[in-house]
Amino acid sequence: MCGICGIYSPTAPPEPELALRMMAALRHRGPDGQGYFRDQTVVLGHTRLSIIDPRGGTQPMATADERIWITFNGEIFNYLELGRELEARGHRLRTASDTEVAVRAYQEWGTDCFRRFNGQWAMGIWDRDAEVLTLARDRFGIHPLFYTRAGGALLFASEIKALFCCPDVRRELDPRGLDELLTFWSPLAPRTLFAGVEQVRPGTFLTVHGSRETVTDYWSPSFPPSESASRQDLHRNVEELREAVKDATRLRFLRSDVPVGAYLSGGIDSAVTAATITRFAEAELHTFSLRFADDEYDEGGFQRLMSERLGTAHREIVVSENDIARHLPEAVWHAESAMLRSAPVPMMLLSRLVRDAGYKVVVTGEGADEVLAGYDIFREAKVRQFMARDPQSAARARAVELLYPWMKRSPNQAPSFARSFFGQQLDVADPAMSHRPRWRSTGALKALLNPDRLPNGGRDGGATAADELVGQLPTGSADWDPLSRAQWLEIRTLLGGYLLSSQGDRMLMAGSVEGRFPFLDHRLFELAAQIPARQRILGLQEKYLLRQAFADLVPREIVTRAKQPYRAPGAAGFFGPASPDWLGELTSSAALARAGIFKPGVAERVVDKSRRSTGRGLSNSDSMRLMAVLTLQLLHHQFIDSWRSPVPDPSAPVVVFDRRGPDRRAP
Amino acid sequence: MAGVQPHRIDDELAALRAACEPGEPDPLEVAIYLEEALRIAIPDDALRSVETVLALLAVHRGSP
Repeated sequence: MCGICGIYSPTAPPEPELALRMMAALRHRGPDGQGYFRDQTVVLGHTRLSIIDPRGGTQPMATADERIWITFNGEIFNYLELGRELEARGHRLRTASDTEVAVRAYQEWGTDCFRRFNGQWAMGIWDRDAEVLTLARDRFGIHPLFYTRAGGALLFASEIKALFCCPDVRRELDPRGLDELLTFWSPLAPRTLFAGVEQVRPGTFLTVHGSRETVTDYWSPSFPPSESASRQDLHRNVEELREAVKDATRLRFLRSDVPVGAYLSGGIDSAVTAATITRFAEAELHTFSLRFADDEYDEGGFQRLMSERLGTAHREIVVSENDIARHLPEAVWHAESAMLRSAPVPMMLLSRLVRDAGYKVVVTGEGADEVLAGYDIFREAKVRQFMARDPQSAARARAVELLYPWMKRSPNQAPSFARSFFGQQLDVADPAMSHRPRWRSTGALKALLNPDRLPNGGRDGGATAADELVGQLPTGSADWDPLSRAQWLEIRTLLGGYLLSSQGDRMLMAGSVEGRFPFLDHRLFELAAQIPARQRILGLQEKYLLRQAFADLVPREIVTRAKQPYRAPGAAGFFGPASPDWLGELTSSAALARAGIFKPGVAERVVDKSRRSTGRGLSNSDSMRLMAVLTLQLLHHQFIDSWRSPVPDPSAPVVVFDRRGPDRRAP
Repeated sequence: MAGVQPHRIDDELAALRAACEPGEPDPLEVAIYLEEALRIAIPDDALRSVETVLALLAVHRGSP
């Protein structure tokens, strides 16, 4: 990973001093080096985390004729294969880096090159002759890429804080971004929480020429009509899935010039990727785990079981509720978003453990639950479909007990609970039936907000964000099975907006660590999408195929283990004896009134209620309310109220490619 | 059979039962699977046991 930024200014030469400030804001993403390119129209900036070709991969980089320049964040995992193809077409590669392959591929195939890339990336490409700037992002949005306009220029960067280094960029919360945050847990690309700041949607590229901007889709997650899934053979699907996971993992482990480690969460997904890696590794694999001081959340036993089975050099960090409270401001600074869960904070601390161990790349199991339908929300949707066939049937309502076995302990109440919670909005014609309960419960948080912070002053009943998203379902999705539509919604909402961002890239980058995610190899997704929905979740057995495919490499205790969602302790650390100073300051009536985000008195009551219980025993809803209040206040404080632009380190060397002269070959 | 070949359903049912070992799948889980595979609705009185659910499969295939 790296940090990228740039300024496109067709009307006046851009200032490299601004680019230097933007690069300073991105230094944590690329502590190994920095550089910028400039000509009369564009500045491209880069901070480098060197992983492939540490000596030759200095950026920004150009084609041999210096017509095309690139600033690149990420990895093209099939760069060796593409490099051979380019050489067969007459290119003479000067480096061993995937960055050069990316810029040459653009030179050779134009924007069609993105379809050829297997990887994770955000990049800015400047074609000096055509005077076209292209901003492109990978298929699932693993790497971030934001942009805004100010003073006749377009600015782009890996993180929003770099855009805010320009004093002409306004810093204010976007009502529609807030609406989406309090519906889906995060704004959906292209939206962000900040007005006027957009992000390149995953699977698209933006081209800019003068004042003309065009967004083009090059890939989107798609599924076949439910009657035409081509992969009907269960046993063959197990075999082909195994091969696809192995190949995706191989590429992500071997394509690196620095050592690559692996996360072990205690679940099946990271167990599979780590176990697969050991088949390719020539040296001892180093694994890293996150543990919790609170037994309710801790998965240390399963993590150790897996590391012992594989014989890895294993490190772990134990995180307490006080750690979470202390580090929440840093996590918000890096996420540049509010959070409804504390779960990103421990991920940030884990990435620092990796970095302290001398590693800067890890392979993880992220993405498996979306690609292979592992989440409870998918099983819930199946049960709700089952209930919807006869909403009056008590026998059908009992199926909820299969999801949550604790209900069997209260047999008299379970059916009524099922009907009251899961039995609402049982409209099988609704393409978003799977997600309505979550959106409804999250959407209740909007009642906290000052109405003028919401679109139309909050007068639309909170339906705007969900309706807009449902309207974006692809043409033909009505013919998909309900599980496929649910997966699409999950990929579009929680994966891109939250898991890969607030809990993914941004927390990894806080420790200057790159995450690699084999389950998000697009070839693997495309294979899984062709498997019939009834096999993706067999009955209610989530990830049956994956468990079968790797039963020989993963201990039975993990293969047969019920899905354990990643959760972290919530509110207790904020109100105990180690309550952090910032909490009192930012939740005072004066501070709340100054930010003006919440209705008068409402946020105070949320905090008081949490304080009275010392943060323990809060309901899920109260815990989310508290996190919304704390993180929105932190966000407002850090980025709006008390914004401080990062300052460049004058002692840090900067590689400069100054091409303002008429001859672009001039040194 | 909604386009799904009988031997595929037999394979998948066997896999579902094996996945639940050493126990048995709940009849509701078997019903969820069959309703999805066959695009049928199983009446409440057949949801009592795995056997009563599977009896519907036999009926669906035309063999009592």
